[in-house]
Amino acid sequence: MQRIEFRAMGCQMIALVDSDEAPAAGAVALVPAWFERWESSLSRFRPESELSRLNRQSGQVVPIGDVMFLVLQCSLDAAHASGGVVTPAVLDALQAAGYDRSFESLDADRSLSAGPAPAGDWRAIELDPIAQTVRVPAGMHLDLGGIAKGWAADQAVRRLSAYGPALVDAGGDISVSGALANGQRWPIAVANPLRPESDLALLMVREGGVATSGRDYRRWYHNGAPAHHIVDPDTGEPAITDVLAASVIAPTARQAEMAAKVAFILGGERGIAWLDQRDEFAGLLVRETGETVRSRRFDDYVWSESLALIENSAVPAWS
Amino acid sequence: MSSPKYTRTTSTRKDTSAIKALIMLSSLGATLGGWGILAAGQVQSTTTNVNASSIPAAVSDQTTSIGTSQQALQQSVAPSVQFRSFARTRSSR
Repeated sequence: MQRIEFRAMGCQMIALVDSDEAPAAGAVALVPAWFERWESSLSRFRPESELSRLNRQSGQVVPIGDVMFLVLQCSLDAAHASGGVVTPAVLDALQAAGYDRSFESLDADRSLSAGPAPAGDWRAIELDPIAQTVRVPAGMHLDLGGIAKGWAADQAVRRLSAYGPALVDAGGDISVSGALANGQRWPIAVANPLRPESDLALLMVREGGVATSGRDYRRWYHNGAPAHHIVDPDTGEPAITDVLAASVIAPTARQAEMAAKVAFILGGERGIAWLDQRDEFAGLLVRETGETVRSRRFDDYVWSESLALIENSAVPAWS
Repeated sequence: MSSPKYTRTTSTRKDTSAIKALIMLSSLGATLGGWGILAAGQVQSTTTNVNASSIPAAVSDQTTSIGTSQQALQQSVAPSVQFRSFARTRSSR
């Protein structure tokens, strides 16, 4: 098994290839450079990135590179699939909520005068696949954070899979290319958001993606009130939800990321209903009370012994 | 924010025993490396050869003893379980 660990996109990254061959080791060593290239295009925290330049040109038709085109297409697909609950047009809302710099640079308590800024209409974004251009409506600005990580995990896994069964963990957004060399599934733990050193469940995943959206880590105080990084596009403010964290299994990491975010924003009851209506998703939601809720297909992926732990879990409740 | 209070969704001494009975299965061979978080801005790349063993993964059981009264159950230290896995999904960090 080849393994590399590094930081990129503000997160801890891990890449694995189940092979002892030298070409696999060579491929794994390239993964940090792939992520650096993608981050240099997609990061809103880098003034020279393609995304930052695009955001400075809202209202104009702008030629874009291959990476930006692909990720924008994915973000619009996610917006369509989620009915607009997940949308790239949330940068102004994020900044108004205090998330105007990388999380590592964020003060625990921000005091800003800007009020909430509802997300713009993603359907007004004009992406031209022939000319490979995009026009973002004037006054609208984009953030690609979550979708970029999921997309990057999928891309890296696709490249690595040529050398053996591969897994890429992009800050908790995980992509898996196929069964391990011994034919077994990849064991992937689901962290307990109320107890970071502990796990809630063990998933057994052959291929696809696993992602978690939550407010247990990227949170701060904004004008004295608690805030977090997942914006409700209708209000332009951090989503008010009873869900602390939502973990979803999907055919790809980018789909898992989108679905986890939807389930989080919709809340425990509506989030599980949304997942249950879609055969391609399976999810586990942790409410702020400590209660866990599983979608109808979640048990298909859980190691049976860990299922008993979910059902008998003792987790602290916020108070 | 006040300190969290502990609640159990369901809890019995029998369930605790069931958790304790989970077998420590064979390890994943050589260590997969720690989950330690690197300091922001620090890049560390390591490529190691790791032998993957068979599944299912080992379970680390750190269960502590739990009192029998409801009040004691609510105030007790809850079991902490960490699975041996190749990756761990959590909100991005």
